[in-house]
Amino acid sequence: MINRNTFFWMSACLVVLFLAAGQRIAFASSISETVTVNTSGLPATPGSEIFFILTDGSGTGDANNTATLSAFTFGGGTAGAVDAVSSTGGVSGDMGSGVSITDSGFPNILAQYFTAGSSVSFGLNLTTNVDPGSIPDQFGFVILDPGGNPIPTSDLTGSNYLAVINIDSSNPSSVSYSDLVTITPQGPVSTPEPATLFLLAAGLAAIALSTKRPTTLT
Amino acid sequence: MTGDFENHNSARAYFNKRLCVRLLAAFILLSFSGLSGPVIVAANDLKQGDLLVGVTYFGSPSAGNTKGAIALVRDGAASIFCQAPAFTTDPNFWDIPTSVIADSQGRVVFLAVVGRFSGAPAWALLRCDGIGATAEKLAIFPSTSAVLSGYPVPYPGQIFAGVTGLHLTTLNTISLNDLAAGVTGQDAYNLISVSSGTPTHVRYLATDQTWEPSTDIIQTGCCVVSQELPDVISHSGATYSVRGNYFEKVQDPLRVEVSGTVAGTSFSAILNLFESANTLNSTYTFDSITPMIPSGCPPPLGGILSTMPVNRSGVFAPFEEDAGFVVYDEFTGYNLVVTTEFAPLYPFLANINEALFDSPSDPSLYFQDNFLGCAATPYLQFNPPLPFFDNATGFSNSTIAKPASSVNGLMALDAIGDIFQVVSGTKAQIVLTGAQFNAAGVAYPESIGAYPNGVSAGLSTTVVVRVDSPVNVLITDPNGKQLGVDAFGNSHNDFSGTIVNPITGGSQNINNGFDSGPGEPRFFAIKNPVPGMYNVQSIGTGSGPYTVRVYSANTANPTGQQISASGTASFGSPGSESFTLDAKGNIAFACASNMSSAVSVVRSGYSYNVVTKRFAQTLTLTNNSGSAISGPISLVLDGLSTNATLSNSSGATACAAPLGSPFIKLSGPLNPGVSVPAVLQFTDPTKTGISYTTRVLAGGVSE
Repeated sequence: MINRNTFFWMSACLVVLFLAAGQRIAFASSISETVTVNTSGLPATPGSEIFFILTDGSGTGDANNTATLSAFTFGGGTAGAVDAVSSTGGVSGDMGSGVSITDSGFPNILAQYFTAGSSVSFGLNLTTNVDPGSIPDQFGFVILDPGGNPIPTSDLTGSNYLAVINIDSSNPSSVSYSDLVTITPQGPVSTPEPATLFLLAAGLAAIALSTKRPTTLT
Repeated sequence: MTGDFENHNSARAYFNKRLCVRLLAAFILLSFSGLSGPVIVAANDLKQGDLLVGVTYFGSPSAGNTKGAIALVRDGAASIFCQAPAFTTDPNFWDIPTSVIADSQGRVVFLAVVGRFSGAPAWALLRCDGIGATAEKLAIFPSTSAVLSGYPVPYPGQIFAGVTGLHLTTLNTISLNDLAAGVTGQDAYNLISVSSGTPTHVRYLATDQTWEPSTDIIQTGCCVVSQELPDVISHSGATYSVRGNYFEKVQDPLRVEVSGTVAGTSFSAILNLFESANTLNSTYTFDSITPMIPSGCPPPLGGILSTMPVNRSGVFAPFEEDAGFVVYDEFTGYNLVVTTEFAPLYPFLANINEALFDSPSDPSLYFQDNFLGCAATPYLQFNPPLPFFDNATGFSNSTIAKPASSVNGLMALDAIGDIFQVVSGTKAQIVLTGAQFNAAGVAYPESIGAYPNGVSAGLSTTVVVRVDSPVNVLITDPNGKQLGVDAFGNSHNDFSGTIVNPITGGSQNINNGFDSGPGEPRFFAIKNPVPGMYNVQSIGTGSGPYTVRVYSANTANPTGQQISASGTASFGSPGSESFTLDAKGNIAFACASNMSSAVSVVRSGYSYNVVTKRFAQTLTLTNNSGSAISGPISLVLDGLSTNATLSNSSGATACAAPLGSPFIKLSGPLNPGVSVPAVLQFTDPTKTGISYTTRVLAGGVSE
């Protein structure tokens, strides 16, 4: 049987391992931004559509990055239904409850209708794991007006992205292709990955157990 | 047998009576029916080796006047090929056929005198299409203000002092359009007309049935018109003419018809390329067998001969006096031959060495003339095939007319009406005697032609570069010779010009490069281009798309080749294309060079166009080298995954391996340290990952 002293030192070792490893591996970087799009030029009805697109640069669907979109506001407008036909890949949620997009497919698209108010605003948290190879994952979004026409932008590719982030580093730049878009950085964030969190939790729990006095003497 | 023979003769006599009556009736009907059109007889009545002789006909049917005729000489006998109407009062009457040739279709073309019995004397160009045909009227050249009616008048209002020099050429025309090059040829009946002092070389295009001036130069600076009419012959794309004591070789222009579309506007034009002339005065011509002796002059400079002809003071000049005739022996090796009427001591036929024509600045064609203060003096050698007369027999080898180049050798006419063959030795060989002519009812041979008529076209490869602006181009051949306009706007033409030897003073006109001059499209052409790699550098003179087309054509082949390269120019932007030319005239753009090591490529992630359902990507190319990379620049996608297609591809690699890879073109140049974006558009119906590697090509062609 392992005595309490031994257990303490084993638990402490786990914490040290966690701390040592966490500097390089265990923490996933991400960026957080608040994005606001001026939609006052869009007619309120019959409804516009927004596309959030995360493409996998490796093309393998390696699911190493996730875009988390939250706190949607519509400046007087309202969220509509998810366009299931246009949505594809590793997407879940909606603009009401929050959106999660993971690059488990090549394109990962969440498309949803909305009634335009003065603006659309949301918080973006995007993990920034760089794909192997020379093509980065990319996150961007597009808005189609009620006629199905994209809000024109200066996007050189012609895809009319309003803004785009190429995840080519742990702290990639956001690029806006329209004056209608305002991006407010919230700074890079290091988020422990789930496995690392489990390791940390296990170590801390073990330390706590090792220092707890017994309720009865034997 | 005898009875049969007699019966046969009786039948023949009867037939001859009936035939005679019928011919006479037909003749009368034709004479008074007003029919003026030719009787079309099947062509190709002629056989190889046939001779055609312009003669005077006096035989049966004898009704009427003596008249002109063309005799056919075949297998040692003469017969009538075609003849004039019997009566001088006939408006179709002609006589004194002064020149005769056979064209490529076996039609006999000749110059004859018309209208001299009706107060409107003129020279007429006539043509008999077959045996027994009525002469077709092609043109009339009146010698007075009175013009005989019934003839086409190609030059209305002109009065001619003489018409001479009838000869046949093949007029080759290179046709170029946006996509192809082709060559067509047709017979041209060339002649020299003299109307107001200057001989004019004109020609009748037998297929087009039109007259046009030849652009070449015929002895414009020589001689008294009334005394000396030039004679002319063509060979291998050059026209030789003699007149007085001048001898000229003109490199015939190459006729190029161009058509196409530039920026939606159609154009067409006719270009005449590469004409040049070199003229010799015959003062210094020498028999090739004349011994040379030391000139007694100081050591010569620059390769000039230190010897001179022993009879330097007794100048041999085969065409120093009256102009003779010039003929090119196409079949039996005498080549260029000139006749002379100089004096009985000198040869009447001279086989001329053309070296001084072709390289008049070559010092080895000059000697130090001690009679001229040791001045460098050109000499023109000739070799007499026959002496003026045969000393053994007294037979005169003199000709009264321009010899004909026959498959059996040069054929000439002597003063007593014989046809003779020019052979080596001292005495010409008689082919047909005057008596044999008389047996056919003809006499007084005036002119002689042969079938087939040896027409040697100039066969050479020509490269034409057509530039649809806005760029200037400068073409550099494998030897570094340049043609075009450089980056500073200076014109270059290293293929043309006058070469003057500083020692001899001899000059040589060369014109193997052509520049149509400013305008759009602009054409450049090189005659007889050397095989190898050609570079075409371009410099933008404005903004917009440009196309450089390169054509290769040879008059020996009905089809040529065309390749083209396009790009987008901006003011001052340089570009470069290279093409190869092989010995057979095949052209191909050189492959573009792989510049991947000098250019970094940074790729963005894929965006997705929700409207077009296509994926897009931006690539940023940066020149990391220390020198500019000339356009066009091609960004090649090798190994593109099969699920995707590059929808904005400019093409697929077909020159530089790996082949079949899609690419997009970028305008150059890419200067050191400069980056340019390139957008790729992909269709990917499966929406699965797209993969590829990049390659950067520059210069040459990627297609």
